[in-house]
Amino acid sequence: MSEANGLRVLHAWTPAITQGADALIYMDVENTSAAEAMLQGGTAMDAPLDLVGFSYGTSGDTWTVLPGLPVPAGAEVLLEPKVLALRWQAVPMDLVEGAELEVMVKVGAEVLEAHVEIGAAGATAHSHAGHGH
Amino acid sequence: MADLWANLPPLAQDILFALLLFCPGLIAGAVVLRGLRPLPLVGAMLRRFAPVNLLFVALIAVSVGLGVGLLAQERGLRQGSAQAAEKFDLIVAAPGSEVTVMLAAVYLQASDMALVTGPQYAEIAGAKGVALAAPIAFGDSHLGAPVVGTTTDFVTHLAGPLAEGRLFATASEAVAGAFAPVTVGETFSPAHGHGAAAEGDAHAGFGYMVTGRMAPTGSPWDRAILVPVEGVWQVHGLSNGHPPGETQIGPPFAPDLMPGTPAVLVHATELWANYALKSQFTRGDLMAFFPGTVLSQLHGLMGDIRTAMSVMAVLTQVLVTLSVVIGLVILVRLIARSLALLRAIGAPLRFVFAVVWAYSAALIVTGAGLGLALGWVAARAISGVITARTDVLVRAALSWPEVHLVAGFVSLTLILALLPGWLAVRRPLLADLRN
Repeated sequence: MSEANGLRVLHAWTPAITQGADALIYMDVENTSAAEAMLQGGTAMDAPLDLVGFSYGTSGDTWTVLPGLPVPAGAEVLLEPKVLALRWQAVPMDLVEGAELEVMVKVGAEVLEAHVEIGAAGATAHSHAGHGH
Repeated sequence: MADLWANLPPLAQDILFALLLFCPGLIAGAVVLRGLRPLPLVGAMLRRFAPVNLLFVALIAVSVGLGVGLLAQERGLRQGSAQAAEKFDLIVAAPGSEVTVMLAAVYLQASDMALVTGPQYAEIAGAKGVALAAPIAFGDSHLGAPVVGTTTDFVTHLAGPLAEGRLFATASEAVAGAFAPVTVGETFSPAHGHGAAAEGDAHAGFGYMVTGRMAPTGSPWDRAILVPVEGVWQVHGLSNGHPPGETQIGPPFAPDLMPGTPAVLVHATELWANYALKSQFTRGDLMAFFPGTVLSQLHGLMGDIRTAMSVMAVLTQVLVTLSVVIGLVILVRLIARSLALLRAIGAPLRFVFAVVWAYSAALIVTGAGLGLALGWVAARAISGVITARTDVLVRAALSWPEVHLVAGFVSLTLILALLPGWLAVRRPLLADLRN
């Protein structure tokens, strides 16, 4: 978990992938401050992390880059599979299950450091999914 | 190399992959036939053993057609159901099962559901970024067609300009889906409920007049009859969502007077706002979801079935390939005397080998070509049945996966067809001449 000025990033995770593939990083972004904050993306190993939104049509799954997403005061936004994610295109190394990844997430004026847990390849939920905490 | 491949356009990748699959068979043919002209003799063999040849071709065609039809059908069903959901950006409903709500609101498989209340609807409709918040109220039917209460904006959002007539303007008017069982100008009384248990006379005395017909959407809404949501509330003895005496239809509704609606379709002013609205209305007393997400998850589960179908199709091809090769070996025994005569009059072994291979290749390529056509016809026929039963427009067309399947099958079989040719030239010449 990473926190600054009422903005928190927690439960960050991504499925394991091989080098060259795109990583989709999921997390909960909480805003306990009194002002709306804009989630804008981030960086991983100096590479940009784009905020992307999912859509589904006749051509299959599509992820579209979003300009940003407001996180209202006192609310949270869930980045979850087939809805929202931070996309790291063409990762330069294998992301191996069980390892961790450091990323920076830009929310409002804050840049929060997040530890991303690497889950099983093809995982569709965080390993804590279903837990009440 | 991987980068080069990844940078190619999808069409170029498909064409190259098909050629790559076809190459081994093509190379085998070029090597076997180089410098020889066995085709006149092959033509004579095809004519002489026409019934047996036709049987072989039919066997290959049915096998290839089965594989091609299965693959095309699965894709058509997936694309058809996705297309039917494309206009349903975000659905907000009372907490429950997303699948149930999606089936009810998108595919009109009505289900008992809790209602979004008037104040909740007002909050959704007034939220920042909402361009359209349309109530979707189902429960009645007419001649098996669902009667759905909504707004004129939803009709336009769903199907664009009407194909015929005009939009409803009063609570007792209706717009028919493209294939709904009513005509413009007709008046009907809705039955309460759906199917065999629908109560035909429950709303006797209340009639909707059909004022227009929507253009086809390729979704179950083509069979539906859309009415003002006020009409649905009134016919059930509820408030019409507006102050007493007002005959207005459509939003804004008076929050305290609105009886509620099972689902609300939300369309945002901008793409990003859909995600913000989903976050905003995912909470204890409401559920917001993208039908596309649910459908993608369901199709993801179906992916296992697709894999199983693909494996079955490939296994069928392998079995038929083996059957064809065994059959060709037997066929070579039948024509052994003719081949022996050929060798006796001085034909080189390579020529005899080429005749047998080219003969086999003719059967394989003809059967595979017919199979591709048969698969297309079968897929279209099955699509028609599925469309009629589900009202989801399924268009199963042949695409590159089917071409790749056939190219792989033809290539592999052409290589295996070298075996009968090899066996033919190894047969004892004198024994075959005596027989």
